Amino acid sequence: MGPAPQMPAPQVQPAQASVTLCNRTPSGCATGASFSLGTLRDLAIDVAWSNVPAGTHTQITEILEPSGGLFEVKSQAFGIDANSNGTIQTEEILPVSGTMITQRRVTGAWTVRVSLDTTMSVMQTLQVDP
Amino acid sequence: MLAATLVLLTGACSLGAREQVVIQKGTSGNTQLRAADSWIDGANTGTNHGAATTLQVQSLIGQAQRTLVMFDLSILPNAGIKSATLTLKVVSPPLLARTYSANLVTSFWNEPDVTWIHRVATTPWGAVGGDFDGTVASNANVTLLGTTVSWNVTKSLQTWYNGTPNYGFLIKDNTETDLVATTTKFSSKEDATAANRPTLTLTFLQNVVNLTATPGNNAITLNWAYPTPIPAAQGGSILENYAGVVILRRTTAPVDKASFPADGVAPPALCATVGTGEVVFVGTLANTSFTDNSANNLCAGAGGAPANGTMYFYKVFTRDTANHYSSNPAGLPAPRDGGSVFSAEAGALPNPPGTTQAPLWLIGTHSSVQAAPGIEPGSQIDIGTDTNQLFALDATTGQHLYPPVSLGGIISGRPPVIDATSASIGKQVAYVAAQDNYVYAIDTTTGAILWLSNPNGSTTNLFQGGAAVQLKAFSGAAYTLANDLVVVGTRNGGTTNANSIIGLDGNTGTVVWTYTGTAVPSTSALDIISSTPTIDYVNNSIWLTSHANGGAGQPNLWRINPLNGAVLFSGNFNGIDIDSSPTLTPNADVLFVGTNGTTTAPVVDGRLYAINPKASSVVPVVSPAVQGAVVAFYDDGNDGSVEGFPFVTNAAPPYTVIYTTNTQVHAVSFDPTTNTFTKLWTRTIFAAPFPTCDAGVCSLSAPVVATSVNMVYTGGSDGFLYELNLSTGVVVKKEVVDTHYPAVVGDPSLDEVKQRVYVSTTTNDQRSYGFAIPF
Repeated sequence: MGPAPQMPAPQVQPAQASVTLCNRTPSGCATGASFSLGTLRDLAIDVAWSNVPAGTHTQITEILEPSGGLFEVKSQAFGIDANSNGTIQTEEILPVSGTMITQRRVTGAWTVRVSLDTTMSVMQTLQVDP
Repeated sequence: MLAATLVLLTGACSLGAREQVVIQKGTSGNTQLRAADSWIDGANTGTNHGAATTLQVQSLIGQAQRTLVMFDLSILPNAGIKSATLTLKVVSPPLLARTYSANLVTSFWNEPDVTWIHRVATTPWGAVGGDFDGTVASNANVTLLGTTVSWNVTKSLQTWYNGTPNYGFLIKDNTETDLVATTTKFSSKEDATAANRPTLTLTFLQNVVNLTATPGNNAITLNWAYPTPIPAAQGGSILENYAGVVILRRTTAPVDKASFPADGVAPPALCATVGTGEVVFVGTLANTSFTDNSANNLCAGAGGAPANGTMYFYKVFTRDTANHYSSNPAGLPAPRDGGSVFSAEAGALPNPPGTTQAPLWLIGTHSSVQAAPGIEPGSQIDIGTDTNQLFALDATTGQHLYPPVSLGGIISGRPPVIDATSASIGKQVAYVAAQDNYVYAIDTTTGAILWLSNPNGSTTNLFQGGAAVQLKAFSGAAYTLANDLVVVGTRNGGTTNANSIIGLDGNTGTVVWTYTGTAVPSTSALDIISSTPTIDYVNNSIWLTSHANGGAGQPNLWRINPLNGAVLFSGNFNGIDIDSSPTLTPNADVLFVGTNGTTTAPVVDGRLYAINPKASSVVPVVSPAVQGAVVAFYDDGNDGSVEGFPFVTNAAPPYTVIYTTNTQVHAVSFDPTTNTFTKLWTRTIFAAPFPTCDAGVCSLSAPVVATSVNMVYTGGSDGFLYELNLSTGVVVKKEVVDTHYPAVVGDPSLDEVKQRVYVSTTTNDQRSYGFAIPF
């Protein structure tokens, strides 16, 4: 009689993120792949995390301007309880109206890159038109 | 304290190379003014232990205790860090051996306020128990018999000296789920015995100092001095002597942050490629200058002797006898990676005499900054960044006076700097409005935070424009407040009518008054504020511009009573938002306001308004006799928004006003006796075919005017700083800032004491520069 069959070790799913970009105004948050500089008030970067292990984590959001240069970096910490399902929603706001983005008319293809604890990242692009 | 070997250099002054310093409050004269430590308690989540003489770490499920410790690194303004050790003295050891981790804290916290739940007053941590980096900086074992515990925190210190904000360490038990409490107590910086307090031991190489690049005809001469080592009386010692320098050069663009010699490796050969740079000089201790020309630079091709008309950038690294270099290493976590962010840099453009160019200095900020630097003329420059840091630079050399002050949010406005004699707080102070909803008062002599205030407990106000300060010392008898008044405007994008203008006591940060807009009546609706207020000392008022929900239905210009925040006037001009700040004439008889404009449909041209700032009635009637009345406006012809602020160049009428729009610089004269604008000149800087500009869009910064040299200065997004003749508008010269990528050059600051202009750049360049004027 051979040894008892080993149960396969449970696979640990890596953390995953879904990024949504929208134009946040007092009326709400309109999603889209492109925005006009004349109407883009605040760019909301909404991230839906899943499979995040328990503990304290740091989300880094990098915003790259159309020339590819790093425009701004935002850092946000959050905690995942041991008994939770590993999901959390986060939001970062990039002010646009009244900032150098509108004052210096930085239009073109912007990139948002979101990472968790410097171990994984997802990217999303948006077009900012004049 | 580690023992050190002191080596004297024969025949020369003793110079440090790999130096060592032990930082401990109360020893070697180190006051640790900016240091902080505390412990936070999962069982008593609202209790602050900032004044405690001990720090605690505990493992107990649901009742963990964690320690926070942050050092004041002012003794070492800038360096390449080679090693760093954090040591805590054990007061009460754990009964069983434990493993404690040191973790980088990732959010600003305040020692008197910090608890398990809150990091500053009522501002919570992102995660209860502290926000810290998920990657452990270092682990250390703690035993019953141990008297001290040390963590190797080298990489953490390297990240701080490479552009990442310094919020200190969080020490925790790696296992916080025990059913029986296991606690360790350490001495805090409040321990009565100095030798017991937390210590940070660093080894490092300092950068060269006083680095200059002097261009000539097909030549550039670099000069530098070696830094003064930290003396023994301040906890310093020398491990290896300096041996000289290695200099990298790059054509048309700065040597990038990832380019530096590797520690432990002999200096690279001349003409070797190191990252984006090429080795043009390897010098000994005797060398304090190098002339880059055909006689000394024998490299072939692009690395050869400099050619006239081309911009060259250099990075200078000190090295020691063990081949350590004054850089931080590769492998630091992105996005603050690349080890030579703050290494000594210089640049110059060689040419025949009279046509050379060179900034006096340049430094990396690793940040996108458009705002003009705050200045104490002739002395100091204070630059707010979008890495949450306030840089304090020596105005002469551009060198860090101390490591950047790490605050809680992005700084996007120019910080006003007030000298100690003029400020009611009695210190040289900068008031910084940040995007974390806090206003900070910083002692710019030391970098210490004097106070911080979230004026209304908001988490959505974020401050975009800079703070303004009404100084009691310069105010008339009508100003009855006890101290200076700091005025800020909010940028809450979630409302078009309920933003606020807030006045804070300059000595304490206490809110003196708040005006918050209301939807009804529409004349009270206050949209976002992205400008800096203007103090009217003559008429005892504060003038402030705002957005107007994009139209004519609510005000975009406000006059506020500094004593109580009452609205003395509000009006809408041009039916559009306003981002630029208003400007008063020195006599306060005319207020100039530049509005936004659009160049795409529906087209609205930005206008320059002349407004009557006097009278006392709050009546928005367009009449020259009434306050806020539009006396006249100037329409420059559809080139978009007025940028930054109009600049009034003279003290008596007719007034010459300089302002910029998207691509043009304008000079107009305004005569208040006839209420008329007269065009003096308009200079188009950018026209088809457009030069290469950042992101393909060419634009100008706000202007400054140096009447002493009759020049106007404005930054372009083509990487140049422009100098125009004030009388004619002719472009006299344009200095290269960084045309390689190119850089967006931000709003300049004028230092009339040193006759200099300072600017910062964004995205692809991320540096600050000082230029002598005239060019």
